[in-house]
Amino acid sequence: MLELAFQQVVNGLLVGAIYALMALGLMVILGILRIINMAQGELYMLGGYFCYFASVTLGVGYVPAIILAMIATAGVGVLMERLAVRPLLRRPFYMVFLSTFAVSMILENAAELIWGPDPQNIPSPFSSSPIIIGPIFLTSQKLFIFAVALVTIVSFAAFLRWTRVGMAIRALARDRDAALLMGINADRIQSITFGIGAALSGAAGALLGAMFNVYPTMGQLPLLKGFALVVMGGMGSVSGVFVAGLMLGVAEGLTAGFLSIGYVDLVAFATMLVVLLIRPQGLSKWGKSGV
Amino acid sequence: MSRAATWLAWLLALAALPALMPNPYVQYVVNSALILAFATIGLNIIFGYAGQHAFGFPVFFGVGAYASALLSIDAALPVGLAIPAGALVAGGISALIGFPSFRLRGIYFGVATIAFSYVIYIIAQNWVDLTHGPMGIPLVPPLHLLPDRAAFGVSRDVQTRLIVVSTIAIVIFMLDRILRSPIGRAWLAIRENENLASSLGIAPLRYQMAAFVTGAVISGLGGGFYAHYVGFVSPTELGFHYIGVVFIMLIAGGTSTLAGPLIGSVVFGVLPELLRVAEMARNLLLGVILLLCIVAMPEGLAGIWKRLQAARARHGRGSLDAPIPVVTHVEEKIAQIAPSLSTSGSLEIRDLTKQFDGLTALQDVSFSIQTGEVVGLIGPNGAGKTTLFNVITGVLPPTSGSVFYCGREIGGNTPHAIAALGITRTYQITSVFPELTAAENVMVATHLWSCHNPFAALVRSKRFRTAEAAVGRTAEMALALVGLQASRHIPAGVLSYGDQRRLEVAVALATGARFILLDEPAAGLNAGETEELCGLIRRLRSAGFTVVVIEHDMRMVMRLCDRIIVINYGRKIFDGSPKEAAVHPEVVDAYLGAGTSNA
Amino acid sequence: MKVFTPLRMKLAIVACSVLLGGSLANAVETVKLGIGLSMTGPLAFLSQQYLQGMKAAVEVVNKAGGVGGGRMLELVVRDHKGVPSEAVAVTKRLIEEDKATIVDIDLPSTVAIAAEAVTKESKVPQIAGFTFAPAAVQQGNTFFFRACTTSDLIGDALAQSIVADKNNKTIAMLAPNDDYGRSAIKSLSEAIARAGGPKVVYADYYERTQSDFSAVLLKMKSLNPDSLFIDVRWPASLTVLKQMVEVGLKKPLFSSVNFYNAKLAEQAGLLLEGAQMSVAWAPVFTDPASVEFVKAYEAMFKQTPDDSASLGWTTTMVAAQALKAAGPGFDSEALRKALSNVNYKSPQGPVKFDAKGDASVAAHVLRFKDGGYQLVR
Repeated sequence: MLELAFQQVVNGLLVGAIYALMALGLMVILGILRIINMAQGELYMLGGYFCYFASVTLGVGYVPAIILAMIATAGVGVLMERLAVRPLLRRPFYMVFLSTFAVSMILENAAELIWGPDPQNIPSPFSSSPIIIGPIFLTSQKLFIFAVALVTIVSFAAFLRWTRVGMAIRALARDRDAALLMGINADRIQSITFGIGAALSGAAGALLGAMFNVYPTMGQLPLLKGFALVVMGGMGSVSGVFVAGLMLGVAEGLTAGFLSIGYVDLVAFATMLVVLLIRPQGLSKWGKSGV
Repeated sequence: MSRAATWLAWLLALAALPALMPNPYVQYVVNSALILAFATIGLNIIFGYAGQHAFGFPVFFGVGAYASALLSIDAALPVGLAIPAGALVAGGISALIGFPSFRLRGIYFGVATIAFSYVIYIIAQNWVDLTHGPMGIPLVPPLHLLPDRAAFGVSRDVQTRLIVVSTIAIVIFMLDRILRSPIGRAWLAIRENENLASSLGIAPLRYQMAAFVTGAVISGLGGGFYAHYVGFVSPTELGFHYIGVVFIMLIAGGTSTLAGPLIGSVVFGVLPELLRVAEMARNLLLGVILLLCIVAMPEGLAGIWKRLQAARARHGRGSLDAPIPVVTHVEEKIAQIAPSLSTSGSLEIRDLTKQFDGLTALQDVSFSIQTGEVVGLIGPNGAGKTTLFNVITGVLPPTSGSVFYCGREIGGNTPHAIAALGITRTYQITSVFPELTAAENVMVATHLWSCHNPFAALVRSKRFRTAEAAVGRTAEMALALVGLQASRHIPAGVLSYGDQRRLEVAVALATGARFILLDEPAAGLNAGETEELCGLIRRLRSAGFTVVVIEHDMRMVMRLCDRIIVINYGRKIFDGSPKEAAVHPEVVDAYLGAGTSNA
Repeated sequence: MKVFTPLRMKLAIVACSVLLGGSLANAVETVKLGIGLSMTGPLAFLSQQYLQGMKAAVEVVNKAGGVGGGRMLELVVRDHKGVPSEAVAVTKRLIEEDKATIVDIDLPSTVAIAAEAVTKESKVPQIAGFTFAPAAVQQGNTFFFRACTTSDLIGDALAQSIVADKNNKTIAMLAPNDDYGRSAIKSLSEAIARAGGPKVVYADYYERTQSDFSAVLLKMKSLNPDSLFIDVRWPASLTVLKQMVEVGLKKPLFSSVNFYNAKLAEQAGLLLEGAQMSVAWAPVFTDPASVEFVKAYEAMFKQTPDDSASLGWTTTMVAAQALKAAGPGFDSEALRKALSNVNYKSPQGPVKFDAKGDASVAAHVLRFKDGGYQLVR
């Protein structure tokens, strides 16, 4: 029993890092730009499909395919911002909610038309043979993905904290008008931020797609879980989202192990609701309460 | 053509049109769209009118569907009873969800509602014993208007449509009556400015919950119709597909309008079927159409209709308004503008302290204010004056100490409870209901003494009509007093700064409060306007009101106030007549500076 | 001079053929089969295969002269996305707008059942070729005919394999959380119990969106069952097999047609070794009906057909046989009668409807051995 729990926890941490990566893309756009991007799941999905396209159709290697996928997804994100978000800047925020929802429908159907509705497999260079440490079973692929996720998250946090563009992004998040007055090109920064958010979720899609498979509707659930994580982690806090992601992964693993798989998806929402009701400002110290 | 007649004509057309095409497929599509209109109307109440962004709300349509289906099958309830019962179940569940959700602010509220809707979906998928799980519930008994034998060949499709359209008509009729009552005004107020609404005596949670549950019951009603029309209920009805569809219908149709949800539902209920010609790319086309709608038509289809009407009115017979009632000598009738909420009372502050995480905003402040006084509260910026107002009006709870009004402890009460006692205030930064007209702003303020019983509103009882007439008179008098009658139909957000300030005063007076706190009312006013303001305050005093004013305009304060209280760094440093204040060394030092004896 | 020179004869023959062919073309009537499938969504792949099977059958039927009276068979296909309410709309559209004579609304079972409300009222025959849910024939619809096997029969077939091994005392199960998966586990558990077989120590249902199974596999491993029933769809099936290795879970495997998959065999070959699965059909069948089907399918699509395609083939053939028997004219009652009298030797087995409209075709079991699928029963 204890062994099972321990294994579930380790497993959960690995899965959680990927959740965190996905949620990070959402957080960038939601937490920093205060934009509810209902198409974020589709950006995640496109990341997976671009990776598939790059590695299967173009024949590129595993890692270059992931990078190409990130860049391509970023491009889609920037385009989306230009067409569906920026024209609605001065409107009530639920308009953007709806316009991004429209974009999500378009992207999902487009992927279906281009690649067909069946799941596709991305070949991965990792073997399935388990790495056994004590009673714990791991795989090299999972470790790789965990490492990549971790590196990406840390780099992004550093980027936000220490680069000029990062500071501009944070300024924009605080107060758009003040940022404009400071000479920050708000439109350009917003584009860049959208692109980065898209690239992050796209990376998650590419990594996960390689581990499992890609299909047009794969973005729906990660979107919702991403919301849960951003809310739990405290909007705008990279470390908060990371911790929340790990916790979610572990909670899901334990639920699957000790209750039933059917309720696994429930965990994200139940946990989030509990957190919101007890500590509305999220788990992070630097989180903000409410918008 | 009168409003009611227009509505009736449109609804009849809606009911009759598909009968011209007896094709059951077309009937099915139109009926499904009309049934979904219930969900859209329900969403409009909470999202459009009450302004609460409950993104997961459409789930109650599916909840009603399940409840009705299960009640009619497992509990053998006749369909005619199962549908309303299912709607009530949806309402009950919404109350359970709404109550904790409304504790959350901003976007968290919306996300929480999405989470709850997903939880409901998962329960439906997995609690197989109750909901039949993913297998769904087949053979849901159909809804009949007439028993099959006596149907005279009227198909079930037509019967269903007649029932549905009639029910929609009744729902819209009732909704219209509620919207044109203090309840509807309260919803709009909460949407526009929740804090202001609260300070005018509107309890936000009560009205948010009312909107939430009402919307859920209506949505659930539609769900019931759906279940007994399609004959099959499955967890898909609780899924995100429907949530998206209903939002599309509402926003593209036009929020905060009665017709918008109906138009949106019909158009976007039929559109996907029309797009079947491009079977595989249906969602893509729908998404593109939706995107174009949003970018090009922010007010939705109903908004376009309204613009056409307005354009016609402008080019037509001119203003459709009734002539503006003439109000004379309102200055002498200030006390009659609104019925008094309580006899003006005295306010006593005792050892009041307010701390924020290490910053002490108020420290052991004590003073009292008698009925009929005009007291000036002055001090440097950041001294704690507005904080003091906030504590008195319940926006902030005191850290220690007490606030007594008319001898009763009110420290820590909610703003709306304190408003009910007869205390009202204006704000440092202009606070109005931007999208409501000037007249509507004032009418909202009458909430505390108007008739907000929903049944009275529905049947337009004598008591209700009398109260509404009084509300109308109050609005006219209050606007006349501050000189805004000509602007009564202008949205408050569009008014000039000075006019907004005047509106705030009108709003304060309409509440019926006799104890008025004014926070920098002269800020940004020129000399003439300030003089007007002083005149008004003097008249208030003659009418028996008690006024406390925070001000930086020393000339005004010295001439106007009976007494002055000076606050510096959270402490009271002076309490006495203006003359004494002008020469008091600490006051001069902290705030006035030398040379104010000329003031 | 010879009037009937060789050249003039040839010209005459050509001219007559053209005239005749032209008039025949004008006289061709089509009978429409209205098909509602999950062209998008998780069952899209199965739907596609099923449809291809139908198309192969239509080709064969039309080549042989159609369904009598010079009428050719035509398929009208619409997508219901697997959503029951959409299926109702699709069924109505097929009947009213597309004028289908017979409808087939399949994948998943819930849509077939939802459609029954429509076909019952409109009195249009409905054949289900991929609907395994037992409830489908319990809707009181005399116009509904199920031409395939049922989850109970599938359970029976597999149960025999499961109880065959006397060492098999406990079994853990996993299936999709939809009506198919729930029926599968229910039917199998009941069948095992009837056969006096192993105890079901664990049964769980995974959501379609699940991609990571390590948690549930670990749970199963901790219970240490003697065998496993893993009914997981492609491509999650590949993930499951791989993750079983990753967590160190290795037991005798039982599954359904979901494990009968060329891509799975190709990519997970060794992991499938010894697994037994229940299927409606497989290309390893050697009866004449199967041979004919495989030949026709391969000729049209240049690939070997699978289980789903065979079901589509059977449904179409059954419809064709009934249409021929009912004769020209669109009397739905005559058509219904003809359907109830159908006796067709399909690749899956004999199709003959009982009083409830159920053909109750028996299921079969395959074993994967040495890189290939073999018939067990």
